[in-house]
Amino acid sequence: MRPLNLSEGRAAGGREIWAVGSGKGGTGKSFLTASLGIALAKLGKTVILVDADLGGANLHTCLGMGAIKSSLSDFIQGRADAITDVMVDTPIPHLKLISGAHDILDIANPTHHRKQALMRAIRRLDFDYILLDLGAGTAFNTLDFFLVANKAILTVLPEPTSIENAYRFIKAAYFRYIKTVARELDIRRLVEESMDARNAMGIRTVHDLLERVRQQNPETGRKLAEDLFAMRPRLVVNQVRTLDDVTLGFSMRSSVEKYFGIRMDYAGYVEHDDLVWRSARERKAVVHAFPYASPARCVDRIVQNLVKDTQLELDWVMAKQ
Amino acid sequence: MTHYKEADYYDLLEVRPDALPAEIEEAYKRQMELLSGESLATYGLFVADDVVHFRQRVEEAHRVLSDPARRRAYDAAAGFADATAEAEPEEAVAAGAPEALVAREAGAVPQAEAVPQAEAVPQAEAVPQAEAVAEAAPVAPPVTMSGGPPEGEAPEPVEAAPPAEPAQEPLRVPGPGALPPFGPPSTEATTEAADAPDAGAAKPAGDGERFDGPAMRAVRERKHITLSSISQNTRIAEYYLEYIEAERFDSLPPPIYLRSYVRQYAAAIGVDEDRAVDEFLARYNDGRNGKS
Repeated sequence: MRPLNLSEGRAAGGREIWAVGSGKGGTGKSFLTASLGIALAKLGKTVILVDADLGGANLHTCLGMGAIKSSLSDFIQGRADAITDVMVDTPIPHLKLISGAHDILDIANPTHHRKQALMRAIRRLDFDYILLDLGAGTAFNTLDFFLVANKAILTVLPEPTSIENAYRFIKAAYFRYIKTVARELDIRRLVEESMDARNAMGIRTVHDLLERVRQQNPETGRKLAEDLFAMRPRLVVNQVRTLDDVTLGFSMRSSVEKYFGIRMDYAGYVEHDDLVWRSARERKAVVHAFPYASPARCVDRIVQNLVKDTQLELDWVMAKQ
Repeated sequence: MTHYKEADYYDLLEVRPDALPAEIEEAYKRQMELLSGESLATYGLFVADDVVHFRQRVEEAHRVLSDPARRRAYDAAAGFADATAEAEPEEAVAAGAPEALVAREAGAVPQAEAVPQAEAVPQAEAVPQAEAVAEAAPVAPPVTMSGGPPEGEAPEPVEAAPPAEPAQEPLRVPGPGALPPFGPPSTEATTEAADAPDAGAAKPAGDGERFDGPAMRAVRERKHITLSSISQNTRIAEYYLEYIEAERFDSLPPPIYLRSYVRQYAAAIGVDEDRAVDEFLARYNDGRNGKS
């Protein structure tokens, strides 16, 4: 059984799934998901936002919408036949929303079977872009959604706690991935053991794990290495205030590559702006209400990088100073 | 960019092989700051004393690259052609550079024997396109390795952050029915690679001798040339370049076109075009006749 892999996320017909996750709450995931969706919709793409934060959904609020009657829980619980039945319009043309679950207790941890059904349904949504707003943290459900995406976006704030958790998140996601795709029982056991940071084998990073897999089974190790090479989480630093906050993304990218042994793209940053906070208070989608303000421009840049598969360049950042 | 245990000295400091001494100093300072334990960017990243080893590697890189003589020796031994130095690789190795030898043992850098062909050629003669563009950035249109929106492009090749080549996703099989990463062994790419024993690991080692896809990719990556920039300069679709590197023979166009593609690609990465065409086409024919 291979419940997930990256290429499956490449939904048919050129559709793309983007998932926004973070190691810690309050890093602006919902804000970013809503903003990316709005920016894409403004480009004329059809977009659906899915609030996959099973347990703490508030994407609708970021879009300036009130409580929504139908939600993902109706679909997961079987009260709605099709996932499209729980889809609602937003104030923005081309942009639809599937609101998150309200009845937390039931479905914060859906069964494997339900989760699979949900993923299949999401993958079949007929939109140019399917954006998933994930719950914070490293719960398996969250990681699985993150891994299934074509573009896995990780948000951080320029704060120690957020960064620490981002690294935890990346490590957990990769280990989870390796465990999920590995067929050999011994490799899966190996991953499980090495999830404990103090494991006796001294496996601390993706690179270490890969080395060990290679020793145990060179062929699997080789395939896995190729596989992981194709994976590239995209980093977004939110609420930057200084140039150091901006360049933090480059440093994180470099550290992750050199220490974890994985690649990461720095998709962009969003400047701190009281407008975001004010708009939230007024329940407005900031990039929609203020399309020429700094947050909207930052988001547009991120969207460009994500769509074109490019990333932020240090040269560009420095030239802008 | 690679893991610090396997990275060459330039990668460790994140500078280009032609970096000026001042750039190396600056890069060294930046790296040490990152590894100082005070840096926000690495907060909570390192486990145990990994950071100590990492730091040692960076210091070692700095020791060698900041000393002109040792740097020349390292360049020669590790396959970074130095435009100014004519030193014979053997001599250079014999001349010392213990760090270089250590690095070589670690399998991180190409063997000395491989140096002359692949690396010396581009610098010395022929002016391969992509390199030339990269070097002459202020005049030529910038290579646009990737990056921010066009508005504020700074054309100068800056020392830091060698772009994490956006284009290399040869294994994310495009098209319908995308292959699962661990799918059945019938997947073209993996079969080819598995059957060609020397094509497997795609380590940058020894790529001067071989002109198969993975080896050429290794050359390209070491020079930080992106597929997208080659594609822009040659007008060859990026996925064909990917297929060349992944040796997905079945997905490549007929030889009459392929020949020209490989030639242009080889020119762009600065390897011998004739040999690249001959050897790649031979592999292509073997691959097509042999399997599927």
